[in-house]
Amino acid sequence: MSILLRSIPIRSLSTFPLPPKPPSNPNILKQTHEQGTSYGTIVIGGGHAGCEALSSSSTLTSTLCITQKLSQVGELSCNPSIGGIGKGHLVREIDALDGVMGKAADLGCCHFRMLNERKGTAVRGPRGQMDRDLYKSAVQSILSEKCNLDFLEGAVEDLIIDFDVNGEKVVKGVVTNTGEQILADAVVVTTGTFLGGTLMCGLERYSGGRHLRDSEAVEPPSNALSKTFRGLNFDVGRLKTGTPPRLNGDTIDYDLLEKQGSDSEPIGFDHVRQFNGLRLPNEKDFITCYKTATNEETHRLCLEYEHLLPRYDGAEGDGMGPRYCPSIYKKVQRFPERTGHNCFLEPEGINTNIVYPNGMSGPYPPEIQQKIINSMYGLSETEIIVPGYDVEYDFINPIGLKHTLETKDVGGLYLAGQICGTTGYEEAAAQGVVAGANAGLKSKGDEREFIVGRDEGYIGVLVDDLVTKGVTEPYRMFTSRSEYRLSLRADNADLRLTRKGVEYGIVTDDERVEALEERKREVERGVEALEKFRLFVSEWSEKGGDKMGGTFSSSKKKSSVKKSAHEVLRMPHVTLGDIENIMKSEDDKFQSVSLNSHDTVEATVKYSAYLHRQEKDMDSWRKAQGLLIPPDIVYDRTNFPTLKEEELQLLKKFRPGTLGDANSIQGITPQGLVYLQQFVRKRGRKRDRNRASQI
Amino acid sequence: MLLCAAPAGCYSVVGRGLQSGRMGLVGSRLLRLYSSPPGLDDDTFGEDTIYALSTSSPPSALAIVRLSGPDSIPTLQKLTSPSFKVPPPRKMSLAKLFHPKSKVPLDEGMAVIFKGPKSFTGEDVVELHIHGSRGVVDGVIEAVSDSGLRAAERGEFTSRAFQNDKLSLLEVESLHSLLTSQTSTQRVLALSTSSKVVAIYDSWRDVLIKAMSHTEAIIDFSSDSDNTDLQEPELIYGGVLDSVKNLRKTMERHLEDGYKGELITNGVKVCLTGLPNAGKSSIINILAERDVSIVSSTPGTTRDVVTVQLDLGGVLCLVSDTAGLREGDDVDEVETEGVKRALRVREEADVVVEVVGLDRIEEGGDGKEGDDVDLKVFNKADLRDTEGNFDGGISISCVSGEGVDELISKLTKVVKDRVGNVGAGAGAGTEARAGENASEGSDDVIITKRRHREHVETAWEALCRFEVLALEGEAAVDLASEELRVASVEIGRIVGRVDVEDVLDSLFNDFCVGK
Repeated sequence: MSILLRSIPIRSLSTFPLPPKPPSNPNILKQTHEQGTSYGTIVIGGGHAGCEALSSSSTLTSTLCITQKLSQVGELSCNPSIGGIGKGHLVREIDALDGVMGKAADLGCCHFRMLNERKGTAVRGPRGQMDRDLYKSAVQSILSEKCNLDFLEGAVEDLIIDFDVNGEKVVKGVVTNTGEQILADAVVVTTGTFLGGTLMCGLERYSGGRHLRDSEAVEPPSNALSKTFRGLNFDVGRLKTGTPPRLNGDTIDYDLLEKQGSDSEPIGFDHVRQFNGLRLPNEKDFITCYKTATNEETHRLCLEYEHLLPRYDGAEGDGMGPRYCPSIYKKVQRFPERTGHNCFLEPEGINTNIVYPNGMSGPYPPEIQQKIINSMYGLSETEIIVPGYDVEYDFINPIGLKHTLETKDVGGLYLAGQICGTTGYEEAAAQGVVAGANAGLKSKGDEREFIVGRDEGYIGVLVDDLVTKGVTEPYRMFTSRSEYRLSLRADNADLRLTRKGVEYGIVTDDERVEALEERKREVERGVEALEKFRLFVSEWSEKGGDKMGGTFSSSKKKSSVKKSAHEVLRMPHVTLGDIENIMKSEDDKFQSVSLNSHDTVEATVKYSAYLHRQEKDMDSWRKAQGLLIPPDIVYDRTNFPTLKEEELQLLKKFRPGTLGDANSIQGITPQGLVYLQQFVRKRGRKRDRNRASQI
Repeated sequence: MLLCAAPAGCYSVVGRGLQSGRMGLVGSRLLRLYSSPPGLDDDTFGEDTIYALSTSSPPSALAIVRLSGPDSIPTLQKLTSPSFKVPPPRKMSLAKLFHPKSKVPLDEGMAVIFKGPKSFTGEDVVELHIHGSRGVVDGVIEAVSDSGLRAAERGEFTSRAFQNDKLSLLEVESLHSLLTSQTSTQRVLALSTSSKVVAIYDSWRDVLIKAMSHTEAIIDFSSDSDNTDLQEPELIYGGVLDSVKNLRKTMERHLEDGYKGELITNGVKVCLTGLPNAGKSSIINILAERDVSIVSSTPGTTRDVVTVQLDLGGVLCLVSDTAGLREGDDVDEVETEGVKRALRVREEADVVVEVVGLDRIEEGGDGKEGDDVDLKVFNKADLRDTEGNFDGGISISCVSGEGVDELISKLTKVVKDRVGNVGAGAGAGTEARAGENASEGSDDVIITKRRHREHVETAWEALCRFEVLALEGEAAVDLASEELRVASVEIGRIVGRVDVEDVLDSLFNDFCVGK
């Protein structure tokens, strides 16, 4: 691999004016590690996966965070937002497990929207714009209050690997760049884009994991660890991602642009805050976003300068980037018939003029990026403060991991975040919770494994997808990835997961448990009230219009039938709010369900028929998981003469543990599955026969 | 390969067993209908060598005895003279066969070997093509057995083929249908089934995946996407609505096929009903003895329902003789139960034939007359001096044989009407209806198994709900999408499965999705 390595920042970047320094960020996190101390868990990295791993592990065992710059812990490296469709589900689940992200997002929030508001409850996605500094401070404050948690500013050069009594590899600790050996029972690696990171801007390539946003400096990559992983024979690949240029908001002509305001009732993420009835702290300072778009001139520029785009290591020079978050060049190339692509202009905080142009990544040379931006409506005079760049980095194919995110080859070694091939803060954080919890349990000698099922949460869907299907492109969460979408909603994350968190010892906050119990009661009360409240069909249509009479209203005879509010609410278009208004008009003392439980009550009723069916699906999923495939099966032509070559390769690669796992591998046909099952059964019988003949 | 002769156990034609007296007690080797592919759950496979007569029961012009397993080629050597040279695989050679011990000459036939794994079963296979007289066949089979080989279990050849990965599941299912097919119509269906049907179900699945990619785009991308198309969901729904509606109608058409596929696979159930002593048993005897080829007869699970399998114009029929219908004080408990069962059989029957004894015509029918009677038969014409038709029925005499041919041809017509045009022209005696439905063709029947019907029904229901929900626009897009998911899972369960990646792939080919 011949990469032009440059450890100093490139000149072209320094020609741009630096952003104003943010208010001096007092170092919230202090180095507390003392030489010679050993730990239950060491977490390498302080990004979103790292922070969650620190949080969940430190509730179980003594934990050390090793990161290059303590001041950078909790930094939002790319877009200034948390949540979204599917991603918002993950944040709510992380919060239900007492993670960091939901709480910090509420504290850092400066603009909030419930995406898909007008669609069904199950697909609504909470999304908050973040003030970068407030978010980072919030993360650091939350971590600084954890007991059991030490910090060390430094880099990890190598892992200490030993062999256990069975001759299996196990991790024993790490070696830092100062040569210190720190021992631990478990190590969680969350290196993000830093593992073998190469930054690219135009045709310039230089070694690094990330640009610092307020200086010219580049944070150095973790090349030593990359070597360690390659040396351990992990399946290492290259992925890339990109971040757009940052704009000077003072040079944007906002008057020309369409506004996008915040929701009037921003609900946020933190279950405990919601339980306490507190509003988001920065609501009065909320910012406004704006919308612009590319045009034919923009597209012409994108194509004219395509020869100045970087050449990558992955995908034969094209780089393997997230299909769901394409660069502006990719969009223009793939959809030549389009004359414009939307671009949301998102201010990066409350007290800053820096603006993030969402959807405009594309690592052209800085002067070309400037031309592209200026071609857009409302941006003709706009200055770029920091050019966008791409980063290509190592990832470890997650099929080498267990559902606990522990590597199959090295005991006690856990991976989480972008290193597993995902993209997005929320996806990284979700893995951090799982890896941290399992690392903590392992160090404590607790033999239980913290695994969220596909039937329990998006976290489970994410991890299961990763470890059973592997990754060929950066993995992003979508609601369509969950087959139980109507059951796994952003509104009921606590009902699904908090108890489990308590059981495994990662939720220790009594207030959170109290909030859960209260909400449970409130939802039950709300549903019961709807069941009890009955009116004649004629009355329903009288008060609520035809949509409440349903098909009955047309028939005089049926109008004399009584229907419960529960039944009426199950009709599409009828909302809980509509029903509550009628209930209030009938009974002065009627108390409507609190905002906190409103969505859950509505969804429980609206989806009741579907939830029953999904429960059955979940049952059969659970059963299918149970059929075990012996781990020593040799997937070759001799054993499986008629399996397709592709299927053999897939089985060899994934080594599914159960028939359920095998079934979830993309590319395994039903026939292939039956052969596999037959082979397992046949082998079992042969073995029995041999045993019988020996006896 | 699929057209090779059937393994042992599958032929079991009862032949001349039917004489008179109680029906159904006669056939000693009973033909069973299986609902699952043969041998899949069979634990009898192994390293021993099996044999079977693979052609139908002697006498016939030629017969084939097939051996499979490690000892099959050594056995061929034992059965031939020392000078016999085992031919190279897949080459026929003349073989004089002797009993291995007594050295008595058995036949002068042909032998061909297939070396495993390049054989039907994946094991070494020997086929002995011999003359089809009973004496020769019995002699060769005895000789093979005396060589130490084991008679194959039913479906064991197929089972071994499957175990040795020589057959795919679909081929097994199709072969299973072929092996168990007893009539020409069934054979046509079995042969045309797998590839065509799979293609149709796949095309349905494609429609659903495409539709899902649209609804999922509305859900996962419309809020943060820069695709203006996605921000007008009604517009997108419009296209999906039409394709789903068409698919729903197609499903409806197939569901309303009158269960033809299942009828052909499982047999058309014909129930003979009537008062006691109307002559139902005599009629079933007559049917079995005249002009229809008898497949077999089986006693019912109850002592009083007797079922005979008949081939009527190429269609397999299960004709049941039931207890006479009567009630009253002099009817004992057992008979009451018999009547109950008779009524149940009648209810489940596809074709109901009511038999009225002309000696008791004054009493009318069985008092259960109704829409369900397809054919009325006035029996005992010999006892009354009457002629011609009685009220649209057929008058017959089991004693003189009068009217029996007419009964058979009428009954054949009713049965063939019921299964429609499937396989028309392929079976023998397709005098009726061959032209009427020609435009539809035999590929019109795709639901041949109950399991398939259940999946299609569930999918159809889901699509009906989808259409209602889709009209609600954005507000019910989550539920509408769930219905599409249910439908595609159900169709996927028939032939394959659906994965979210399929949906996403389709989605990204059609849409530009931004951050």
